[in-house]
Amino acid sequence: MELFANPAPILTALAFWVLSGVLVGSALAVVLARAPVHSVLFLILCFFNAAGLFLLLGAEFLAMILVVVYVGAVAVLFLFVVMMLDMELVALREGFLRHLPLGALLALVLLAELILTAIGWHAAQDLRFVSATVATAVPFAEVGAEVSNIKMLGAVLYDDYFLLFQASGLVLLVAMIGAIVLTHRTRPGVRRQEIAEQVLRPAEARIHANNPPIGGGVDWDV
Amino acid sequence: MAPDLGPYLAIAVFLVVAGMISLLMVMASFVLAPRAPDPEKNSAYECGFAAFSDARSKFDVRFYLVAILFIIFDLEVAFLFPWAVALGGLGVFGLVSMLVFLGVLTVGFIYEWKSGALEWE
Amino acid sequence: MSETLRGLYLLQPTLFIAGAAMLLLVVGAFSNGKRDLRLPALMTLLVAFLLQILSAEFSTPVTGFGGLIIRDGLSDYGAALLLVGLFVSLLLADPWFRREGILRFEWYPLVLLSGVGMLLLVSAHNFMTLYIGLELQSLALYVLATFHIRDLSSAESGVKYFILGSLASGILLFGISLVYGFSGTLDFSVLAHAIEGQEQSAVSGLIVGLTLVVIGLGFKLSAVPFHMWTPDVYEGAPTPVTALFAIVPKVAAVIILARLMLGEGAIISALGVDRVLWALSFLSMLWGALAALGQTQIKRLLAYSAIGNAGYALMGIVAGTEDGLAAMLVYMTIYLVTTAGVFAVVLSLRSDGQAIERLEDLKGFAQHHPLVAVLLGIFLFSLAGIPPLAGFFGKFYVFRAALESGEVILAITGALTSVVAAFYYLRLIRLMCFDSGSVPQERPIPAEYAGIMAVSGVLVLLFLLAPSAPVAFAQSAAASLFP
Repeated sequence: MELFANPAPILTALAFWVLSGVLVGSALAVVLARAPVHSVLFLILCFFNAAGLFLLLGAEFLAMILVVVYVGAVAVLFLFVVMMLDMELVALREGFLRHLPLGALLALVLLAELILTAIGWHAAQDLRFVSATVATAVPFAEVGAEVSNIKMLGAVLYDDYFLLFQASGLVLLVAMIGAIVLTHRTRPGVRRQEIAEQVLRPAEARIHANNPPIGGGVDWDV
Repeated sequence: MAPDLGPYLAIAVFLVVAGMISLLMVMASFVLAPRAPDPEKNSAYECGFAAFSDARSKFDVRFYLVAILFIIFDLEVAFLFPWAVALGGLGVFGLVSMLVFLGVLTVGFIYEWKSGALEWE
Repeated sequence: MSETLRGLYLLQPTLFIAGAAMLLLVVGAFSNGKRDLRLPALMTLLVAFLLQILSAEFSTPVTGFGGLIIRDGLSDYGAALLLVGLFVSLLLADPWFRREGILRFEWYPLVLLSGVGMLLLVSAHNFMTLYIGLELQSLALYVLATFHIRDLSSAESGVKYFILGSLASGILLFGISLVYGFSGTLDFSVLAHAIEGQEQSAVSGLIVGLTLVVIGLGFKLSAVPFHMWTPDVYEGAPTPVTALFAIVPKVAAVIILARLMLGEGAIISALGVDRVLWALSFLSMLWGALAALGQTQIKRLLAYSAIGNAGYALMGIVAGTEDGLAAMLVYMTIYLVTTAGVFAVVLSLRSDGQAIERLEDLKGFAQHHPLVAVLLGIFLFSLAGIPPLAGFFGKFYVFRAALESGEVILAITGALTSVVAAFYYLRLIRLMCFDSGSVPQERPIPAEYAGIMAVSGVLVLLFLLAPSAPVAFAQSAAASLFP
């Protein structure tokens, strides 16, 4: 607790317990809620609380990105699917009791692992200290306390981690290609405006005098 | 590495007050409004028979494509934020770095546009 | 800045492929898919291969981008192997896609971009590079699994691969974050230095983290018990995509595992996590052989054979010596060549305008098409490890390396499961040669398939005449991890 420099450590502690409590509660609600839409709304609540926890840790950029990307885009996508698909609630819920023992076993194994690592946390203090002295560039050591989290992030991301930044650009590109390959359908016979074609059409081609004979029709030639 | 959370206190207070006001409004109508449920009130309006199927139509995948493309460009914008803040210290290399990233995503944009994914029909 | 320049120089084949992929994407989009991008894509891979050879330094490892990537003998060998595998996969794909009428120009950029991911993976020297390379590769492959959009089984395989792959990536990432939390670094060298001389209690978090990393990578490798996706995805995906899955991603995954396990002070084995790899190897060999016995579909059979082969490759890593690593590299090379040949045969199996999918449809195949049947027989015998074919040498080297480092149980299991695997391969050959009543196959076989079948067949047959050259190559590549 002595890490936080604000004048009211008790406020921070209160914020932590409230945020964590609501986070765990809404996470449970995501799994247990009756209607799928309720699940997604509780998930959104989860994300907001997680963003709050990130703020407490000093990861401001991550907190904001969590809200903008997760809530603003991913959760909206979830809502699209949940609201538009006709999901049969009964079919979704069946098998819950049947799978509960196995799920509980897996959860217990994960919990045991987490406890083991938590126990080892204190013993690993020396390890982290050793690697910190061996490591090359440690941006935090050089930077003063006034530099914001987002500035620190920017200082390294585009410079030291240039390769990873560009590689993540490629990942986004693949996602784009994938989305279009998988979902884009062209319906035949759809007439669209080709603006460039319209604008470039020469004057002679715009109007065509048909001069049909009296009593004869016009041959539509689209 | 001590985060200065002073400015966030204002946001926290704001959230709590906003939450309380909305809760108050919902609770007020819940408590004060008269309630007399009646099966007739829930039946079909004016005339007609009870609905025998869900009103939802088949999910149109075009919405999904729009949402995915939005996410991708949203992530691109997310990368732009730290860059904008830190550009002063990054110099020309930082500029070139971001330009290459934007170039990669522009290639994707060109592909999208040309292959007609941006057309609704 | 100099770090960046050096890094760019070291990664020039990768950058070239990435740039070419984007160019192909734009060209394809502007031509509305009419332009045939096959030749440019193949040329790209050839040029990348040349760049790779020309800038190779087998002498000393060089890191770039501030330690994010490394270029040493192992990464050069892996990159060369991957480029050859991608080239072969592109050759195999085109006739099939044209036949089925599902060729889309996005195929080429997607394969090339997954290649970029794999090349990043083999050069990774930092857990972040590992993760990003893996994600780039996997994302492109998820899309490729569903490439035949109208086909329900293709869609199913894509969904299964995506969901299970994302779960594995999540586990991998959790492991990486535990490693970071407990050591403060993601760089392989720094981590190795930090681990030296630490007692068990301090590194328990690292053990958990690295185990999760191994599990995540084991999934990509189709090691048992993380192999669940493999049969279904291999069966459902379009056959050229299955060929791509079988040939290329495994090479990348197994090389990065070797680097983690054996390089830089042997990060994983120092902590005892190599026992996990032992278990993966053991189970993969066992289950790959046993489960294949009951298969009736060709592609599922090949999936289980891939699972078994992952086990043999892992055995080379578990051996923990330079010879073991060299043996694993030779094994993967031979596996690549043989699998390419097998898939060239499988892709050319068609009758009545439909692809042949079931094993029993191959009855009496040899009577109608003796040459193809002989080649298939050669490939299957090689996969079974029967001398004097190349596959025998691959397995021999791996078994010898395992025995030399004391992994007796593993070697014996390997030998026994090879016998079991030989049984079902021989059953297939008996089906082809001695049973009767097959459906005659369409002719002519596309030139690409015939060419690849012939080249693979020659390589597999004649390996015994000159085994020293590839082995020496692999040996020098492996030596770069053991200075």
